[in-house]
Amino acid sequence: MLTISNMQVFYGAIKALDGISLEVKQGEIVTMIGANGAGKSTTIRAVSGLVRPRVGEIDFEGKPLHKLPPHEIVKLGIGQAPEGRRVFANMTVRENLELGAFTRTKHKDEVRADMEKAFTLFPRLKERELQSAGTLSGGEQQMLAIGRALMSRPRLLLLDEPSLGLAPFLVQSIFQIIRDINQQGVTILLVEQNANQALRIAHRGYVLESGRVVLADAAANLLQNDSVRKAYLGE
Amino acid sequence: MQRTLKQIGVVIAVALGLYALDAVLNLHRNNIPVFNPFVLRILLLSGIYVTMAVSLNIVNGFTGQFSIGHAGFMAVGAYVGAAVTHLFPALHNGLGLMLSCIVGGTVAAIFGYLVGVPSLRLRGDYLAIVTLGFGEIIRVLLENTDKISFTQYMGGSIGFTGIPKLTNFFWVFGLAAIAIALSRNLKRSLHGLAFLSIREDEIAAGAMGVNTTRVKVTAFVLAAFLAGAAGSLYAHNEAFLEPKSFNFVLSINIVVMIVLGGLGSITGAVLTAVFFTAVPEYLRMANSGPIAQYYKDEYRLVTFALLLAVTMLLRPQGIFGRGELTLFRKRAEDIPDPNAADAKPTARSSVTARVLNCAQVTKKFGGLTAVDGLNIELRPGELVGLIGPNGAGKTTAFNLLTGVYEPTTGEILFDGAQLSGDRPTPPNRRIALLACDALLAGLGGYLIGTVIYSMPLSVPPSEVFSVFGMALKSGIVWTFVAIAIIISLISAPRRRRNLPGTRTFACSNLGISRTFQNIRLFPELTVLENVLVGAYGRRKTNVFSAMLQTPAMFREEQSARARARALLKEFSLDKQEREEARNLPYGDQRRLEIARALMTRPKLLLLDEPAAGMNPQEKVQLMALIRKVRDDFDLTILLIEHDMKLVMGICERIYVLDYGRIIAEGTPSEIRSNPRVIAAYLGEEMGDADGDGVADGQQKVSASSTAMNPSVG
Amino acid sequence: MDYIQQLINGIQLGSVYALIAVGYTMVYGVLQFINFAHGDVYMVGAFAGLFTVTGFSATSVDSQAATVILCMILIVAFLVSMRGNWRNLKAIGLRLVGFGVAFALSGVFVGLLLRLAEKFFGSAAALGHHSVIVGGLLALVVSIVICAGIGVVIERAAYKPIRGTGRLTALITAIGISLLIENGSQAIVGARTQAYTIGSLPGGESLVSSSLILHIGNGSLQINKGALIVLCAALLLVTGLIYIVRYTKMGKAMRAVSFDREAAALMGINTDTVIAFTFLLGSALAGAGGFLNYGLTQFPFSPQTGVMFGLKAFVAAVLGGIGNLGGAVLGGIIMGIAETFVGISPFGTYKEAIAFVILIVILLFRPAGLLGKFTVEKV
Repeated sequence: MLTISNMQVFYGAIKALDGISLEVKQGEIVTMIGANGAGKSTTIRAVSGLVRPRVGEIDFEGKPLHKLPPHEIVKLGIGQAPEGRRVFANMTVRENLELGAFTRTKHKDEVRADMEKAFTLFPRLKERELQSAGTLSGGEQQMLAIGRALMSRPRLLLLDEPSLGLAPFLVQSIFQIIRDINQQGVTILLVEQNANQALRIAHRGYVLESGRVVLADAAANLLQNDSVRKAYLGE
Repeated sequence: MQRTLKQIGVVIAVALGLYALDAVLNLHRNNIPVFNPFVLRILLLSGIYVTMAVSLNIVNGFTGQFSIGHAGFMAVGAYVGAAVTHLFPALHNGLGLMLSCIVGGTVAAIFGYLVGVPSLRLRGDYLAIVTLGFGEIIRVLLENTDKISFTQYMGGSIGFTGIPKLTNFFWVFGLAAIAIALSRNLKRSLHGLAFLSIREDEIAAGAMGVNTTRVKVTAFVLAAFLAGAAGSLYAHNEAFLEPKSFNFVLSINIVVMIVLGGLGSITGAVLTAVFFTAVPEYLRMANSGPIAQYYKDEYRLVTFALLLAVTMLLRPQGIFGRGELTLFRKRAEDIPDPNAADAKPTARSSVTARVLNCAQVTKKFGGLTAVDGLNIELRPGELVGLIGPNGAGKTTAFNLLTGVYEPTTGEILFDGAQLSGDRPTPPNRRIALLACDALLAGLGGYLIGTVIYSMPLSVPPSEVFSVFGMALKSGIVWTFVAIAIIISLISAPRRRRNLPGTRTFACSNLGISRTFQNIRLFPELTVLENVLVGAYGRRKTNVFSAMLQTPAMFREEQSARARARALLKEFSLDKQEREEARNLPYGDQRRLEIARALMTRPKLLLLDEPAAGMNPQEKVQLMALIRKVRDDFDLTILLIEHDMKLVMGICERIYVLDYGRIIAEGTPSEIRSNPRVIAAYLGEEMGDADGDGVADGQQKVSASSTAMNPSVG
Repeated sequence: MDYIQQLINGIQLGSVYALIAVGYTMVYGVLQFINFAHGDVYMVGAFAGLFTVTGFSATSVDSQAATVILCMILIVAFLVSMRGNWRNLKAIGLRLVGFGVAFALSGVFVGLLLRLAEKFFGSAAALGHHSVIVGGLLALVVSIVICAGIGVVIERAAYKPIRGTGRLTALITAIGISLLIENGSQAIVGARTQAYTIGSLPGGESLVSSSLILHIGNGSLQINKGALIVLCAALLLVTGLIYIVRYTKMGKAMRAVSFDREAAALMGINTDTVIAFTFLLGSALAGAGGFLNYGLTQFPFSPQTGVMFGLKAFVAAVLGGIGNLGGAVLGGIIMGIAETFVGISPFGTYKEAIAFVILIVILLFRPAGLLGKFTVEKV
């Protein structure tokens, strides 16, 4: 579904990605793990068009992504819940969700139905529908960010650190929700610092280090891998 | 000694040269035309604008502030300088001209101080608009000089006539030479580096011990002085002044010169000043031939406009960038010092049992708590880690320790000195401050009251200031004064109660140094210059000795340079010392940041994710380096890091931060087995240890990336 | 009574400030820079109104200057189009030929354009001559359309290429564009001040030029009808704008872009379009302001007028809290009232400085403005 081949990204003179190649297949949850600054977020940002690779290609269902602007990429069916949630704090929960469906002007009824779906997925948000997003707690904001990304009906959902800064029991439920979303047929590319949790719900995983993929395997194998356990699982 | 003699020699030679040139040029007065007077005028104007451009370059180029009201300073200098010769006819000579330059420059410098002060709080375009507003206010004031009896001779909007024509080649180019020499000396010196560091990264500059406010104000004052002196020369050249010639367009002219020449480049400023004065003046004054037929003065400004746009699109750094053309390649700093200093400091071990003591420090952004009752104690020579999930408030904690933020409550003690917290202002000082506030408020009320009171009166414009006297008898005005004072006193219990927290540069000077999570080097300074900025906080010489290159300054710089080189060697960065910092590889940038922090001779070093973005091999080297630095430099180190291997490997003690609170403290092995830590950070499946609910989740917002806008919610 | 009179004058001036200030505040909200050229767009609006009402004669302007300026712009366009392409001789050659042709034709083009303008404004003026309502509305629409177009062109041609290269770059470019419009139009239409009013059109006397006299107690209040129309129209337009920003889809996109441009792009919002739309709206209101403030009041204006008026409007936006539409309106009205009152006091000659005094006081004591929120820079 998504193929990245030999991608290099630079921030000024600094090389952030040094030839990343990875693949996401239809229906999978694929996770990228690695330390801060390893290039996970940069990879996600390159897929959604926020940064441009200097070398390499990104291919989504046969269409090259690396030259498209971000809003075109959204239209192709890629949604993203960015790192740090980045909900529009000055708008209500409802407005945030409406913005998520910005590309789907023609189907008002469908959008309304999707909003109901988002509310059933996150009943918490329904309670706060008309509250401004800035007043939500961190967990609620994360739910909103994911719900907002789902409003564009993506076939591929990019999740950048969804558990960042959440209380442990919330982390649990966020991962449960990610699994649910996946079971409804959305392919997921997940970036996580919480390697343990991420590998538990993922089908496959990539380990990134200094802008390179150093290990790629089925998630279950990575969980058992000694060096991974040592470096990322704190053992 | 030899250097001083050489400097004096150069000054005398330049002066004599100018004097001789001036004498030759003056021959035309005896009807021996060497130069067409028209060409001479263009020359003199060019010289005056060279001074203007070079002086503005100190503010806009060196310090990176953006002033677009430089004509205001010139106007002040011009009018004050002209007033001096107008009031004292005995001064109609060269000495009088010099005196009027000095007086004009000084008054302009006072105005420069007044404009510099708002720059404490403003940056970028807000500052630009304030300087512009200042220029306009000056112009309006000058247009009203005829309404005040003792400035009536300035003629208001009609213009100031009858100024003696005293300006000549010698003084114009003498002043230009002084301006160029001073700013060149400044740029090369340690002080100049402090100016540049503000332009590069104001926050990092503060953390390296640069008093950013003071440096910015210094830049404004200096630039205003030179502009004022140039204004005085302008006045005595034109023999006529009118307020509207010192308008926004003139300020923009000067900005165009330095932007095109390259912000920060003295050479660029000089060349473009000459070019953009001489050519348009020539075109404007040519009164015959095709030029006079087709040329319109508007074309000059249209050209300026387009040049600005093109420069921004094609070469934003200007023609010369920050670089200079120098005739003398071999510069003082390149002479190797025979007795190279040791990078290691003399013993500076702390006297107290605690280097750092944070007690119940809390920081709230708006309603969100980023750090909540933080308690940290560091003993001398310890190497301590601070870990916790992203957004737990670690970086906020660093910012609190270094004075970037002031704690909402709680206090921080460093090496016996109280950095922040409950530090009541001494009562007598507080009373003085509050009295000042009340006085200012009363004055404001008086001004507003007077304007309102005076509206129905028909006062002739020339008597307008007698209104202020009449207002003293008016009940309305006194009501306004009373209300203003009452408001200021009612709000008094909340104001001026505590001393303001120690500012970043002061923390650095006390001995706390840091690195940043997202590397904050001075990107366009060289590696050596980056480290040298760290020496600024402990300098002993002042900015004047830098501009005059006194021997004391020279020695100090030599030793700073030697120490910086020694440090770079220690970090094996000495090969790249002339490289611009932004071009270094990532790992080198991280190490350079540590070297720069050490240059400030800290007692406590805060490292914010020093290993981020390094590969495993670099990380191993970094671990060794951190240990070595701690031992060699007799430091206490507190570091934030995500790499568990590194933290567990080198730290003697670890604090774990979660939701802005310390949830655990202990040796690495204790931390490793602490269930709460595992639950919060290491990611095992564990229940929520203390039932922190959603309310806590909310705290995270401020600490994580939304911190860009912490007031939301 | 006199004070009420002046208060109304102040509010009327303030409403025009508000019209301009919302443009500054919107652009600042989205792009974080001061669009210096905004005041000049306002000035163009005044001229567009003038030409629509009184017609336009190609001989009254300096077509030679127009050609020269066009050629200068062409040179710039050539240089910019060569960016990063200096080694490619073929590209240079092709472009040189293209621009050579453009140079050769620039005189003809300017001539044609002026002729076209003459025709267009001539028929507009003829149409407007039937009644003051038609003439006024026509002038309003024309100045809105012309200014909206100019705003979008400025954004696309000058600001878009430098986006993301730093605030200083943007500020300098904006100053450049402002100088270009101001001095370009001065070279073409001349520096002299002009004045016009739609009151001279049929029916204008009673609708615009006369005064409304209210008797209150034993005093009477004289309100110029034109000023009243300016006030109402300005407030109506600002209300319309606020409606667009609050309740339409585009407005929502604008708010999203100004809050977080990247996140907005991830929603599928074309941020470039939204930014262009922001300029379009702001410039349209500035154009309307230009026509309203001069076409109904007979105040004199010249190509130089825009800069200072614009800067004062910017001060109004800062006063209200930059990025806040309601704040811009509030700030504008306060500015208008303050200026009017200082104007009638014996300190009237200091009137021009009052805006900047307010600015400095506000920035010192409440940098975020009256309704703004203070933000902390992230370290």
